Amino acid sequence: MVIKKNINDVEIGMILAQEVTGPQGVHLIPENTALIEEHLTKLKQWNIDYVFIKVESEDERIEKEEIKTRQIFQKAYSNAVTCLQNIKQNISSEKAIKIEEIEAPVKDMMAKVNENRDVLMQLTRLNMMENHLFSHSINVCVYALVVGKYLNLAGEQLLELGTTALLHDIGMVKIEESLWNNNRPVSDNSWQHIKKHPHFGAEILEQSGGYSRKIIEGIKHHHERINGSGYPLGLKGDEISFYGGIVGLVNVFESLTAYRKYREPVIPNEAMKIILAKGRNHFAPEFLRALVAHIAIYPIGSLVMLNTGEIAQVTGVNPEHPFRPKLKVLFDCERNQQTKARRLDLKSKKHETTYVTKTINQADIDNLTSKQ
Amino acid sequence: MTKILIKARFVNPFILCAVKTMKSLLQVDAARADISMRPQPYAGYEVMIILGVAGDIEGQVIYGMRLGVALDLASRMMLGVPLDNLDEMAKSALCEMALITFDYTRKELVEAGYECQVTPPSVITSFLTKGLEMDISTVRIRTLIVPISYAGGEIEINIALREKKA
Repeated sequence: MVIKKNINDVEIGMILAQEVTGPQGVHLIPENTALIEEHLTKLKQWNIDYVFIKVESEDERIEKEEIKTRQIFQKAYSNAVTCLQNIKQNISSEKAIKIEEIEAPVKDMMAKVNENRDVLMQLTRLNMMENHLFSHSINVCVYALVVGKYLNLAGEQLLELGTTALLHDIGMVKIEESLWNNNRPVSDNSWQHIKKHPHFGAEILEQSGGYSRKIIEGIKHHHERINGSGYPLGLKGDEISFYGGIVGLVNVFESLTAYRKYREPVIPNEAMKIILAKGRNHFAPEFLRALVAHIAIYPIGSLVMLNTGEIAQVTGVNPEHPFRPKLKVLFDCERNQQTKARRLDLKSKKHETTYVTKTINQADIDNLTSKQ
Repeated sequence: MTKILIKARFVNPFILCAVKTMKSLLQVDAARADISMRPQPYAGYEVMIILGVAGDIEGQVIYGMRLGVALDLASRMMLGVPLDNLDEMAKSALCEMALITFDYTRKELVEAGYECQVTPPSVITSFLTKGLEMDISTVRIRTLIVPISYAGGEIEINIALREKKA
């Protein structure tokens, strides 16, 4: 944003948006200069009445910062992808997977969750890649860490949970990719084979050595359900390991909301409804609660309609207040696209009576805005 | 007689919208039972959600219920997450429900000729004392009590509103 300022209102530290020129176009002070006292005196001596000053709104500052953080986090995300690629190769050539190798990206993600959970979660939505096994594993790891932190895990335990999550589908490497990564739903025959992946995964880690019992069990149990309807063992209730239960839940959530070659992603809010319709019998209540508290009513990245008529995108979550997300307004109430995104935090006092009326998708926005 | 008729004009939207919101927001059928009057809102609820109203009509609207009902409503708001205590998140869900219900109502009120605004909702609980220690003494407006029943139990809407004198 640029404003024209009278010379009497110009203060030290303001940044010039345009160079100051004298008679005959003499260059006096260049653009982008941060003004010091000397400049102010000179400007007055030169009889200059006004200058153009750059001002950054709070929203612009937040936007800038977020972009910067996102770029840094994206590097961590890409490193995790590389790590998984290496591991996949190691498995193919029957080499062991060193635990230190896998812990590095998990530790990195743990640091990022602490630093800025919201931005890390934005990334999970942005990284839906062709080879969904990698992005899926990393996203599940991020969600598991967020849920785990909420359940008061820390240090070694959180690291173990994150490792379990990042490696939960590692057994898929032993299954021919054409069976699961194609553009049709899986056939019954392939399904029977795919159902062995938790077992294969646990086997790989057992052979590699260095992985705790809890991690191996977590991987083995990530498709078990508390009512016994899961696979491969059909375990019930407490028989399912703690990590296995958490990873199992966030795994379903991620799978539903991610892109697949053969279907459109489910809106996160709908995904949660689908999970909860069965959830009482499938997952421990405290895990469901943690997922809803932090991730799922209006998850980061979702598009929402407000009672004010504005259309916004969720940029952050206020823990314990899943109905009061942090937002970026994309369209105002007259459906004009906003070039400078306005931020609102529904948890702030100012917006206490504003609320989300519904979750929408891109197609809804196209419909709503094209009518104008 | 006139007094009661005028009152019906702004009370009806509350009754209609409570039932309508339950249906659209929580996907449950709800029905209204017999309406009664009290000199002031009843205070013996385990959980109360209080909304202040200001504008052409003023006063308070209080949704009163037992703890079990509050948990059931909060759980339904949260897409069915099982809840066993009324923590911050559950309270937040109840406030959201009250806010949305009031907003539907406000639209109808505007059509009936009443402009009004709402204060952010607050939740008051007294289930630890079984509702015995609570007294609402600041509101001295004749109160209409509208019981709404649904599969999870009963909610009483206490409508303590009056027209603002011009």
